[in-house]
Amino acid sequence: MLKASGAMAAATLLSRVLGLMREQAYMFFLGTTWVNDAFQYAFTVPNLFRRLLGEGALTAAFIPIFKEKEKTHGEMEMWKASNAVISGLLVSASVIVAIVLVLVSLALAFGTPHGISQSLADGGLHQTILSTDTNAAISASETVHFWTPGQFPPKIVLMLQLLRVMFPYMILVCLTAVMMGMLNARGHFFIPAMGAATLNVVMIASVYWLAPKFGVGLPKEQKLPVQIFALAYGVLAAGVAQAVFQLPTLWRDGFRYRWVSPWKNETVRRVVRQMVPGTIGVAAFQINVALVQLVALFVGTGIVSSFNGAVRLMELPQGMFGISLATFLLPTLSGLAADKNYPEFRATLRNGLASLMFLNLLASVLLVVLAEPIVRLLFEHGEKFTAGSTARVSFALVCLAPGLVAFSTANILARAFYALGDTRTPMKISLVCLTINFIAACLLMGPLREGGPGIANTFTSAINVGLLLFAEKTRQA
Amino acid sequence: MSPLRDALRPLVLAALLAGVIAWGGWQWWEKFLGHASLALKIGAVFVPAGIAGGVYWLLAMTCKIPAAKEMTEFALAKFRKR
Repeated sequence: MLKASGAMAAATLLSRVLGLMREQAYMFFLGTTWVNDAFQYAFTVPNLFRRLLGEGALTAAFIPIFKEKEKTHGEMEMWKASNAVISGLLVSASVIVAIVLVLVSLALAFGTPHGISQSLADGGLHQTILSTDTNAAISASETVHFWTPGQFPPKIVLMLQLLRVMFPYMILVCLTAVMMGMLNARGHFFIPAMGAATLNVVMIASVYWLAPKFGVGLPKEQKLPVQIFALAYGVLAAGVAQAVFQLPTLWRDGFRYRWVSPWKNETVRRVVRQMVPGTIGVAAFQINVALVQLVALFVGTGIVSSFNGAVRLMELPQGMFGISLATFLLPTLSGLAADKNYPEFRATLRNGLASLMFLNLLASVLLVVLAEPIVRLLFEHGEKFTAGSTARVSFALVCLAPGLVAFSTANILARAFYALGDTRTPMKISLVCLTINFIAACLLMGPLREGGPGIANTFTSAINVGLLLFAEKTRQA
Repeated sequence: MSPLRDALRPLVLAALLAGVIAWGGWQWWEKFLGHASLALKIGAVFVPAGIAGGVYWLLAMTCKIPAAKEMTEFALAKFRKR
């Protein structure tokens, strides 16, 4: 188990280190400004789909079915099933993207202050209102009634515009998730994990290479709200690069894409049935983050970017040990469950959890105790990320990091339920936890600012693990 | 899950001790060396973390935590192969 997940952990480590470098580049470029708040939230929405699908429910639902097709019907049927799933995914993701783009455009038409052009081409928006120096304007606009036509704060206008550019990333990410799942099921763990490294390289390039080409000739304080669009286009390009990266290995394994109608296809129906509850079950943490950040966007400037910085730091050990192990465990546990080898199933799960706790417990303690020097080392560079920003991000990290063990354990326990074909139990538990988290985060965000969501997430994840263990015990009994 | 629970108690204690060591190490570093250069910033993180990690690993091995033993053997096997 260690050997198989070790290769993937190495690739995941590389990808996480690059992810951290990307975050460093973003923090260097944006600091904890309102422009960063807008970008981080706009990125959170399509990124949520990456987490949900790439590291969660779609692969969790698809791998056992793909594996079963390979064992019972042979390779031909297996590829046909994956073609049907990919075709269905392309259609449904495109429809969702089209709907969201229309809704965002309508919201922009409704809320953009009069006299500000929504067109990116004319640059009017950025030159008239959106400048990094208009802190007074931002504070004032945050007190304006949000539901009045033409009264959206500049932060919200920019966030919606960025979301409109970045949301199509979701189609690419869904496609990549299925391809990664297929590769995992075929025993390839290194290449899919390396795909994320490609993604980060392209995103870093967008900061240092593409962004300086935007907003040329504008005054310094007005550049950032224009240059931020370079980062948004970088996200799209990164999605394409990650999808293309998976193709050669799949091709060598015999996969050829052909349109297979997803309508009334039995495999597609099964994947959807398994995926819907799983989407909520595996990704409770991610949905928490998105919801809480939406509230944080309105509570004050810098909360979203500070909390996001802390989340990125915590994701390094979480991704390295938790996600790698969970990705490896799902096909293994699925195979054992299919063979009804329950003693081995329990032993593998116990073994996986023990390794995870051993590593993450130390990581969690070190992140709490050394939060300040870690944040200072990684993010405190340039003019925009100051000592004050370090204090805010490290406070968020101190509140969030105690939950590391619980986040990763919940992820693995949920996958054990999926391997047994039970997607409903983790979903129900996650729904309870989501509600608790949302209420706790909203209550704590006022007094504790960026620390509030961290404490709420830590507390909720512990409850999530407790309930999953209780459900597992009941199931055994 | 009871074997897991049994292993967790000494691990939590070891992690707490590692935390105290890391915090003490960082405080010492800040007081006597500071963080004026990149090398000092790197040292402020990795020196206390390295010492604390080593203590944690040793304690886990002493308490015969199976995960610690398995990972040490895995790492040593890799090392011997090279």
